[in-house]
Amino acid sequence: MSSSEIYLERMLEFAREAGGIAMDLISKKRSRPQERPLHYYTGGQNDFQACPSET
Amino acid sequence: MDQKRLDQTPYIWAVDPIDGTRLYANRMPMFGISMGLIKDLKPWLGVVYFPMLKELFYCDGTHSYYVRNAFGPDEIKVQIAPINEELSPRSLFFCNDTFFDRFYWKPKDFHILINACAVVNLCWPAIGRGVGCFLRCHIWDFAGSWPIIRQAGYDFRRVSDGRILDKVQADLFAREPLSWHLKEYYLISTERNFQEILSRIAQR
Repeated sequence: MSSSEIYLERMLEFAREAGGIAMDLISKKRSRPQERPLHYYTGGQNDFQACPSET
Repeated sequence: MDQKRLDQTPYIWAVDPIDGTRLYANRMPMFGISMGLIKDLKPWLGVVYFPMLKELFYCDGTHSYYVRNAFGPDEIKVQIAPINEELSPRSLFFCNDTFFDRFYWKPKDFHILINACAVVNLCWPAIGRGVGCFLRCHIWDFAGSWPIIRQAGYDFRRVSDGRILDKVQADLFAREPLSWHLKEYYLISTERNFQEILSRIAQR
């Protein structure tokens, strides 16, 4: 293999792996468990209540 | 960065693990992994991968390719050929929001689209999505795309005098506060469209 072929192969490998990591991270972000309860507005000023648990 | 040291540097790697971080952080698909290998201060090998779009652009030093469904069993590879597209009412020119700090656009016949990602701005015109772009950025933002777009007939031309960026030179880059950042704005287009696009850009 020529040097350009070797370098290119490594670059493509890096791109594929980095792309996989990026997609994994973004998927984890999307499926991150809710850390705080959702709140909903019940009408008055500062009148927010935690949503009933979905669990 | 001094020219003497650069002249003794056979290779420069320029890697941007995520170009378009704002888009990535907002879960939008227009972000890419960019890698360029500059040889003897000239663009040589380049790889740009858009993982959410499964699109890959690369230059092997001689030819450039666009790959759909990249790294999958059904990938389709097409060689990038020189584009000689005439400007028309459907033409789009890319820029980022910093463009408006110093310039404004005189819309006529064709229009601009603001992307927050240099590799989109650079790679897409190479396959006919848009007619060029306007950039002032770091070397790692464009090094991966640089050899690819040249295969499509595009060049970086300095807005101030039309000089083509064809090699890394110390005096073209700022040292402070942003190292490896182009000092001036460049218009990336085919030769035939350069003056026409430039005529739509006015300095504030």
